[in-house]
Amino acid sequence: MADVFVSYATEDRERVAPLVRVLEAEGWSVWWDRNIRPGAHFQRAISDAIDDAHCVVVCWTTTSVNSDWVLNEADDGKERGILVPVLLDDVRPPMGFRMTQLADLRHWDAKSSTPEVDAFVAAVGTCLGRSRARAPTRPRPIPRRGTSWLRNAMLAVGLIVTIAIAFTLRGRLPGFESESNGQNCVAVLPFEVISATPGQDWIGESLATEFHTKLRELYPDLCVSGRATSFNYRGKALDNLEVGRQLGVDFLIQGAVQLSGVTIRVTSELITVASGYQKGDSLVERNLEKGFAAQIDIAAVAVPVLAAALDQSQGPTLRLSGIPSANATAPDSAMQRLIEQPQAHAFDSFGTEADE
Amino acid sequence: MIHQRRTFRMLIALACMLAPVTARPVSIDDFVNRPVLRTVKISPDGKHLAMLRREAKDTLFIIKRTDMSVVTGVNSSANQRFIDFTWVNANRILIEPALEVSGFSEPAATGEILGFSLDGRNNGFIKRSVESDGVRMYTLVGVLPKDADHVLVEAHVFAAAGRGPYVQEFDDLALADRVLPVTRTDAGLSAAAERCTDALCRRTDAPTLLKLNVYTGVTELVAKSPVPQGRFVADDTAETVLAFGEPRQGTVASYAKRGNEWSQINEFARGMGIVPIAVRSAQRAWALDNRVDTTGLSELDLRTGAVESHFRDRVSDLEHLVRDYSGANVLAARYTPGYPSWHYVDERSAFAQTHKALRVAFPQSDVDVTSFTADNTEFIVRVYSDRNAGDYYLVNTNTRDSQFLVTSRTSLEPTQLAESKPVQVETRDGFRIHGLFTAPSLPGSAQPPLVVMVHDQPFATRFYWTYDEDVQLLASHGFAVLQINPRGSAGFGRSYRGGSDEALSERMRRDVVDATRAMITQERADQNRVCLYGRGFGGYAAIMALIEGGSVFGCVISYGGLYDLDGQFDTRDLSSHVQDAYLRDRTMADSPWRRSPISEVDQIDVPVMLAHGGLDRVVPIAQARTMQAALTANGTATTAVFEADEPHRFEGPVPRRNLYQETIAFLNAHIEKAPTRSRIESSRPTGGLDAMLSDVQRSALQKVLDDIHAHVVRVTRTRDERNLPSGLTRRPMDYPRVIRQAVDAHDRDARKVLTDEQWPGYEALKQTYSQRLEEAVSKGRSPDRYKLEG
Repeated sequence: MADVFVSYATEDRERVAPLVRVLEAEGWSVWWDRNIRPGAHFQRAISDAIDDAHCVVVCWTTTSVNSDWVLNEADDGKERGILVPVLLDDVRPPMGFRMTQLADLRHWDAKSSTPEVDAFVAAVGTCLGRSRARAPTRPRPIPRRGTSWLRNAMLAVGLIVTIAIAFTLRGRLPGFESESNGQNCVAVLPFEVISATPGQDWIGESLATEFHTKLRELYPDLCVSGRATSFNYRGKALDNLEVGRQLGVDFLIQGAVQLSGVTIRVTSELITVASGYQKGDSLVERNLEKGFAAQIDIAAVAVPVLAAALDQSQGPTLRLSGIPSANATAPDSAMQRLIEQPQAHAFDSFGTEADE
Repeated sequence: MIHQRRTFRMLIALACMLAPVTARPVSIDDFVNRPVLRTVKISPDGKHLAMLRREAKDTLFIIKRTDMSVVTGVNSSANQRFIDFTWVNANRILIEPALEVSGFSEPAATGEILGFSLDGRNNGFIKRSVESDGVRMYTLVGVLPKDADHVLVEAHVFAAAGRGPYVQEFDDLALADRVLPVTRTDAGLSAAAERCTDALCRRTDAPTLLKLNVYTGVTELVAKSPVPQGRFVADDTAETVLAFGEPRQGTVASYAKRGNEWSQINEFARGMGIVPIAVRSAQRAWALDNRVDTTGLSELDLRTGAVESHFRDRVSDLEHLVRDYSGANVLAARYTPGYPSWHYVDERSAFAQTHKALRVAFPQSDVDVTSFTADNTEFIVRVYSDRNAGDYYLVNTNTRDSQFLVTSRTSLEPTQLAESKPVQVETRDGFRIHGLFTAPSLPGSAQPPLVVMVHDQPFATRFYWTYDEDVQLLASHGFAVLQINPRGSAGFGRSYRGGSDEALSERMRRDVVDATRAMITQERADQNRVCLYGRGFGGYAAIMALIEGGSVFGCVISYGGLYDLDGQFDTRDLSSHVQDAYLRDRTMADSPWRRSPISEVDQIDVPVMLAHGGLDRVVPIAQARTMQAALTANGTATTAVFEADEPHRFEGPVPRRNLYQETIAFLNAHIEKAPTRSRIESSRPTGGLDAMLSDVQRSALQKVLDDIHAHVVRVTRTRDERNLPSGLTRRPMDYPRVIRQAVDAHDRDARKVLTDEQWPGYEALKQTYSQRLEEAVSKGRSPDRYKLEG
């Protein structure tokens, strides 16, 4: 079983080889050699390999965009949320894959390490859940002679503290137990306010603050970027990849606020920094007459949905519909109406038999 | 014009956002109304949902999935309740009925089976318990997915004399009861006994496993248990059948059926057994593993008896299993060291991935599963927490869609309720005990008044992290609540619940005192405002804890409490069966449990509230009346809330409201210790301890007392001699609290020196010494050393 499955057109094999070497240099196993052993069923072998992989890299070239094989494999990776696309030629990716963020290696000389290659490696690392440990763009501590005992002691203390924290939180925070070492860092950006009336940006900031607070409150062992740092990016025309890289996070939460009469409609989404793909989203509408309670409730409903998407390394995102408000005691649903007003239905009992 | 109106409305809305909204205050009535929603289950074909609602009657609604319309339904008859139900095929539901029994709070399972069809075919009883040749109680063992017309049931013949099959110790088998899909209540036991006349109950045949036609009630014998009172486990085709039970006193054994013969798989000492709970294949079964301290999940080889450990938590027992539709496959197990936690049998399975995602999506909640479709791709979950009685969702493992269905919440909003947090406390003898602490939901003083709750039943139960209306009622009225699981409680392994009678009796009392002291030391509660609260056996335990650590508590509330164990056991009425179960069927002669509150009334000098139902058949109200008379004769302030028409736990809305009002009023009036009140401990002669000490002990204890002296001098002087920057004023020191903490901090050292018998004397000494220290420090004098005599 390989960590990474590389999907490409056979004609591009020579151009893909350096890319594979970069991945293998990171210590990841890569399935890309299509020399299937004699007797093995070709299609099944590929199918097994892609099923087993934790990350699918698709190389878009003038040849591959027309390959049904590559399209199928890319589709598989996309559906499972583990696709990292790479652009090697000046082409438009096929319909359904025209995401804003691609690793752009069109001008790579196949030798030197460039920021684009680093970003690509970081994207694969994120996909594999190891980005923080391996991403070369992040600064690493330089070992110094003569201080190894100190470093080891500090590591030991850090380890004990981490274990203690993990133990304290055990059972409390499902899904993040194994990630208390700070993987999956998230930043919340100010929400965009869509309104004809100027001067309402504060609502976007206020909501983002609420999301930030709720994330910290519900998932205290999750690595969340500081609010002030994140808010520095307000109004800057930077793409997700750039903001994420500058903040040193793997995921961004961003959103949009629409105001209509007394209704506030908040769309929020979780974006994977490396690929630019949306990993999960939430749409919550509330009545503004509830004042700040509406904001608090929106965050209380949306944040767990985004966090659930964050926790999914494989498979489709969990979708929740009709979540009752934390402030509601009787949400509206057909079954709830039965609970509140059962008299609308008159049934027989088992009758006198019970008293026999 | 339209644009102007919209702008105006928007401005109003924005203005509203600036105005904080305050929630409606919580009232006692919010806790009087209990949730009416019992459960929701999905049909095997996924086309229908069945919802059980309980009010004056129980109603089962059948709802069509596509448009959520009500297809059909059924009500319970007079005095009848539906305890639980199971979809046995896409058209048929089997219901486990119960009867309302006067004097019991919970309806009594009758061991009968009702059938209900969506198409109306053969609705009614398909198995009655009273039959021409005896009384049998039927329990569903499992469905047969490939045979829609049949299920497996086990039939127990009720024995008139002695204990029936429904009284078991909390041990290997009783633990299996918790995770096997059966419902048994104390009331059920008594109801069955009531219906079991001598003529009907002469038979004491071994239990049988039967294949039951779900429409006609016709049964076919599959197996007869090799042991009396045995239980069965079978695969989903009834080809592999296992039994387990007690072949002889003190042992637990498992058996596999080979042809018409049983072969024994294993035999263990009772309490150390391997109990099969699900058949994985013809060769292997899942089993509860009690060999090590806490109960874990293991695989049992049915031919060799070899056991392969799969999972065990080192703190808590497994307490709940999730199985797929067939019941043969265990998917996950819940254990609750503090918050509910889950172990997945296969982490990568679609169920595990989806369930895990749900737990992340509902943080600070637990996600339980009520039912699966036959293909196991869809299931219904109940999401509950300390502040939410339960929301139900329909979940699809393929699409990961989760659709909200219905909520159990009543008039209370989760955001208005208080958070319960697991706590651990080290006792004076160095043992770690578990409990839950709930800070008041109302903002108030940093150290709120504290109500210490002791659970009902000494052995087979514990407090779990879940919604508790009594806790929330108290928290909403400004009280912190400590729910303590003293030793003897279930769920934390053998060493926690085990021990000799004498040791448990004493530890139970001391653990309550130690946990309370810890809350005070940790400044979570006001040391001068602490009251005990216990229901049923908890009432007994609360009063005994009060006697143990009287200086700690300002009052005690006992609800349906037990005050005279001798009297209770002399009354050989139906409830004595229940008491046998509660107290492990002990021979009461020379047992430490003989020590009863009624005989130690002279040691109770704090206000007492007694609440009792006149119809209570678990603990007759005569117990409470006798106790009330004894307390009054002793001059103890007593508040009685006796409701003539109520059972062990008050059910009627008016009595419940009255009880809640009286409880809050009593706490407000009495939780604060009367400063001039004479304490029992202060009148106890400390010289008694001096006389009990050996020379070595005296010397070691003197050193402990000297350490206490130095400690108190240090903490009081450090504070007073510290210079403050100009302009700041010093908050007066809470001398009683600081001194109490300093004195208690040396308990462990003193414990190393003293025996259990000497400890009460030391408690009294501490009380006296603390008062002396407090008096000296508050007057600005340097405190004297405590010098032991002799």
